[in-house]
Amino acid sequence: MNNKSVPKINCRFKIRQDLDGFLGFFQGKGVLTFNEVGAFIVKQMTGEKSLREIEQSVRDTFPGVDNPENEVLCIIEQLREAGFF
Amino acid sequence: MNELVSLKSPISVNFEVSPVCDLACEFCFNTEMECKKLSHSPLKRAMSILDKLAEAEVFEVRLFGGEFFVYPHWREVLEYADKLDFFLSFVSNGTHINTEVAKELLAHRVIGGAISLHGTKEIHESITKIAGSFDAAVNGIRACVENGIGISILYTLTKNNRQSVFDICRWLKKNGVEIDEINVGRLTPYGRAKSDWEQVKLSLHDYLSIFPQLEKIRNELGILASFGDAFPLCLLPTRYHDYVIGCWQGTGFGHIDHLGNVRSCSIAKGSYGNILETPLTEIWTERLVHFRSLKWLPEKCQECDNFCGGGCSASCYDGGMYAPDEFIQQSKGGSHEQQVCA
Repeated sequence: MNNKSVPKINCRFKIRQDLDGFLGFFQGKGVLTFNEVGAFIVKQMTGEKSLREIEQSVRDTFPGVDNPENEVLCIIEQLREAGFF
Repeated sequence: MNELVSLKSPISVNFEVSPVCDLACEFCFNTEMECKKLSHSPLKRAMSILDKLAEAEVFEVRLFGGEFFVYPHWREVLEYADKLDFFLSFVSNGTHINTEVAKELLAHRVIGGAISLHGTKEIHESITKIAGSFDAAVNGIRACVENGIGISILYTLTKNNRQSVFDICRWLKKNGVEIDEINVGRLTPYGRAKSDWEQVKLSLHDYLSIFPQLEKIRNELGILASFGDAFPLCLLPTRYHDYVIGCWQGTGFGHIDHLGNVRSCSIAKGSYGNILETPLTEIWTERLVHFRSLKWLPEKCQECDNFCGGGCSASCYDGGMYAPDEFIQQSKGGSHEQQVCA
């Protein structure tokens, strides 16, 4: 994926804040845990925003994050490994 | 020491929409009484329970019974649950599912479910006590599969059917019934099975003899066959450990009965509280602390590197809400105090 790619998770999913971090439920596939930034990123992978746009929204929402590009790429890799694309 | 994780609420629940069922399975754990004689829940109560589950942000609701499809308002429940944006699934005896029902399920985003089938026709109907229930269940499975709903078969093991798991899978395959998977389950000392438990219970050897069948089903028929409940891994050859799905009771999984009572297991009885009176998040975070501490398990289990949850709580006779597996107690001398209702 390059930063113009528009990621879309290939199943219905929801994310909730839990006692310790965030839980994502991916229908027919399973459950993954995320931190707050990760959950924010995953929620935007609905086929509407490009990676560049998601990265920018991370930058805007979480100014304290050192490397938004890396955060997005890490999540992409986690989801790819889980077979969600 | 092992410890179970705390979540604010279950990820997935079995919601017993109605306790009523029209079959009379010889081992049914759900009630000591005749399921047919019980009363349905009011629709308003079922909807209130769904509201409470939504408030607690439960992801998945498995529509459960009794038999969900004999509930007179099952369509309203399905529609309402979908409106609340749950991921929906069902557990059924399959006998009321036809193409029309399957299409309604699909329209409400149900893409998978579980149907009970406990053997070949003769065996299944000797268990359900209802003539024609095998064909009706198979027709239900076909209707789901043909409409794009994946089906897992639930097969409760008994002395009479334990050698027939492969046979039913072969029959299904031969007759073009394309199931997603088959999960065999523990026979438990609850409901009808409890009264003559010493006569009907399966031995450790009986259970161990199932696994080669599961292996054969996977290898020869290409069907994903698994042990659907928890089982003590320390008593099972390592090569079969991946066959055990296990149990996530009290962490990711919970059971809500038709009155709103919360349990960690669909089979074991008791209640941690009622979600119509107390928020599920409060029940789930505050009243399962002892359960999640695992201090009720033998020390060897608490320290085990290959933790299996202590096997199946519901397998223990008079185990209360949770207890070590019947075979762990036998082999490790574990003991437990009965966990009483909240």
